[in-house]
Amino acid sequence: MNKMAGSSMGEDTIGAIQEGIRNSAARMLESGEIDVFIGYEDGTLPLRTTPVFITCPEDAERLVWSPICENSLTCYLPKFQGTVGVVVKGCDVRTLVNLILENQVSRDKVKIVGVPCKGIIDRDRVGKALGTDRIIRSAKATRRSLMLEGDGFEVEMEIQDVLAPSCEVCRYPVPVLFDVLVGNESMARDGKDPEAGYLEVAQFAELEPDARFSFFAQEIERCIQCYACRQACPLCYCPECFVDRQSPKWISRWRGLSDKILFHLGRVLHVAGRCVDCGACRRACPVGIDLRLLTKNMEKAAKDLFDYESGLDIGGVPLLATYRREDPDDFIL
Amino acid sequence: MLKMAKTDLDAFVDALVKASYVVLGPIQEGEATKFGVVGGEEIKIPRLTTRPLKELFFPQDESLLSFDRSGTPDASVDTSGVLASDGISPRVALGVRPCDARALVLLDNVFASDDYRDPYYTLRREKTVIITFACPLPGVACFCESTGGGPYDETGSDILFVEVAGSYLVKAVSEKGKGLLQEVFPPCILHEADDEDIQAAAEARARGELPANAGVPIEAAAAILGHVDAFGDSAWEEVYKKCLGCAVCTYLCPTCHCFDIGDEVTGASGERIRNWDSCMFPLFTLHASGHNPRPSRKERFRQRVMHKFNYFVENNDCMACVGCGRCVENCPVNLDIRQVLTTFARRELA
Amino acid sequence: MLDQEPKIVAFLCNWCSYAGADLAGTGRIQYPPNVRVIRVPCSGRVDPLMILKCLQRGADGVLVSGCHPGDCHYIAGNYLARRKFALLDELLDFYGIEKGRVHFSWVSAAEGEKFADVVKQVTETVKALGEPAKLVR
Repeated sequence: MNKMAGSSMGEDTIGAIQEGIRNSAARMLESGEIDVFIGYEDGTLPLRTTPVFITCPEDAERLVWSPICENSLTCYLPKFQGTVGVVVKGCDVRTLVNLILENQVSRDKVKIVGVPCKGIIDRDRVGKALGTDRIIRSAKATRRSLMLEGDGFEVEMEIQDVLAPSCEVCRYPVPVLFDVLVGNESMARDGKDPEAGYLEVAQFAELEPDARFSFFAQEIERCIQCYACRQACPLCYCPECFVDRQSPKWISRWRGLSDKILFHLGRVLHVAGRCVDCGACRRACPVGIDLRLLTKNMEKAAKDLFDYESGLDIGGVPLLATYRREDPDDFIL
Repeated sequence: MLKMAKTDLDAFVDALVKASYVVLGPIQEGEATKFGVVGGEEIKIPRLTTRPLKELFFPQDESLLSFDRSGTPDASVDTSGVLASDGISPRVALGVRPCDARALVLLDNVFASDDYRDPYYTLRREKTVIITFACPLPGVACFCESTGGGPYDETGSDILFVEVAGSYLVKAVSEKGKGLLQEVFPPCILHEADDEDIQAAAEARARGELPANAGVPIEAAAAILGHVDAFGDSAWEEVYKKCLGCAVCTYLCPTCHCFDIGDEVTGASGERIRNWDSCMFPLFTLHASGHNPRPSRKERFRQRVMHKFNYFVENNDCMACVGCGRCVENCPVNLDIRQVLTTFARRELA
Repeated sequence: MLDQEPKIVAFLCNWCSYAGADLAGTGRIQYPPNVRVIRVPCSGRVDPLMILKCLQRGADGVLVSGCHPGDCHYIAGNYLARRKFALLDELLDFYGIEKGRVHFSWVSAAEGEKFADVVKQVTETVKALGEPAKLVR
């Protein structure tokens, strides 16, 4: 049961968080602690917010917060010049912890404004719940529900029913690292047990290998190689992606299924032990490929094999940059 | 003007198939829609396919020729394939929206102009009849009217279907369209439309014109972008910032047409392949020396906007945008080209 | 069962397994001629993508062999490799690639016998799996 009852109270929480973000941003910009503040502002379409870069305190009024703030803003941090303030959800901050561990972001150049997260909505799920080709003309999100209006319809949906799949199984809705936490921990949803998150992976692993392969082949066949998954991922920051390497050339021009598979396997390997399941890749994919299943399995493997959870400890060492003598080796001849 | 019951659409497709046409229409692929071979199953016409119509003429990758140096001292080159006389059968693309059809006319400037005719593209164009379905309900990201098109625009179409109360009014727009209707005229399906239907269509059209967003100041923006100082304008510093650098906008765009050509060789044989390129990628215009005139996302984003609303205009007297809204709708960070254009329309350059 | 002789790419660490293969040779120990050896400075040098690329370009199987734990010429290269390979193994299995296409082993410079055994075992396993169809271009 949630500690806070009543929907009016719920709306106030969103308002309070939004106010807190605006105040923090204005204060930090005024004091000169930061040069830029990265947050969300209203988007141009219903159910969309969009990243915004605020540089003067008066503009802090543009900042918004609601369960439709879907982007992982930490993807803008590597290579960023100057000091930055940034709004982070529970998942986002774990990507930031990794970026700090991997020396991509300097801890003293970033002011972290943490938000106790209730989960964000998945636009595909909203579309499915609504029925295809019903055009949403306007949407308003409160803490608990989503009010949608379109041509001849008005629908209210529970946020719970259209949560992003990664939010449903989120373990750390409260940021594990922050300079400012707006609101308080009780405003976040309850963290889920890891097993809940691995249920889908475990069920999938029960299928026959051939069935697993055909599932992935079918998904990945649809890939149009726009690399939105890579670009939206806060942890994909290589100056030159292996996909773009010309010598040796990993991915052929003739982008058949096999090359698409190689890209996706490569992507998963590169985020193995680092991915925090923020779901940014899945949301960015324009053709709706189920990108989470593979990364979630790697997350599970890291937990099972090495008892490692990514993005929790700023004093730690990345999974693949260290070892233990007693690491599993039963697969080695 | 002809008329057909909406429920006869599948029968219409069957008639085309029977007349040996390959019928291409919207198909569902996972959560996305694109154009693919239809027939046999019920056709659903979505508001707009996720993937653009251009793929049917300018595919994401295609083999231009193959070569083999084993055995003979000289390379033997094989350019048949697509270009062989039976490489492409006559096709009908159906369920096309007016924006996608109009985009083909823009692409013709590139691939089928007086200066250069791309044999692969033109062959596919010649062999394809475009049946456009007028848009009864434009979406929130649509802005076709701002670009000079509209939900009932006929540019690029051979036949136009307009939905009126359970029926389609069928209009042959081009000679090619007229020819197809005469050749595959199933009288049990197609009837002559009466004045009442035509009146109803006109009314629907008047109603439908409204929501397709005519308010984006594209002409004004294009005028500013044509200014000599536009390229170095400080506004670029701001507008690109949230761009992630993925190719969703360019790959889903019905008019983006940049491509790259290269050889894929295994041993002594290989293929020359043309595939889509995107100005959003770091490899775009990367020189062999390692220098890239467009080194960051700022320059690459500018390239996309300038190409569509300035360079293309200078070359072809029209903008390379049809306002389909795919880039707006699918951008992972909601970077809205309409906003960018509005920003520039309001700019005052000395 | 594969009709033809399988082609197996073997990434061998310069300091141990490569020397182990050499020892098998000088000791005239018989083993299947199916491996194509690529000498690498350390098993830690082997990027999992290399393994995938081999399978994509038509190798029937891949073997990566390095120094025993504790013996790495670069102190910890093989330990770091072990973590990467454990994850790759898990990924390939989950993806539905047959178990047995990709093998890892520790073979020292003194273990000519073991090298021959490993190659025998890998060749038999790969042969039994038949045509690789899943990753091949």
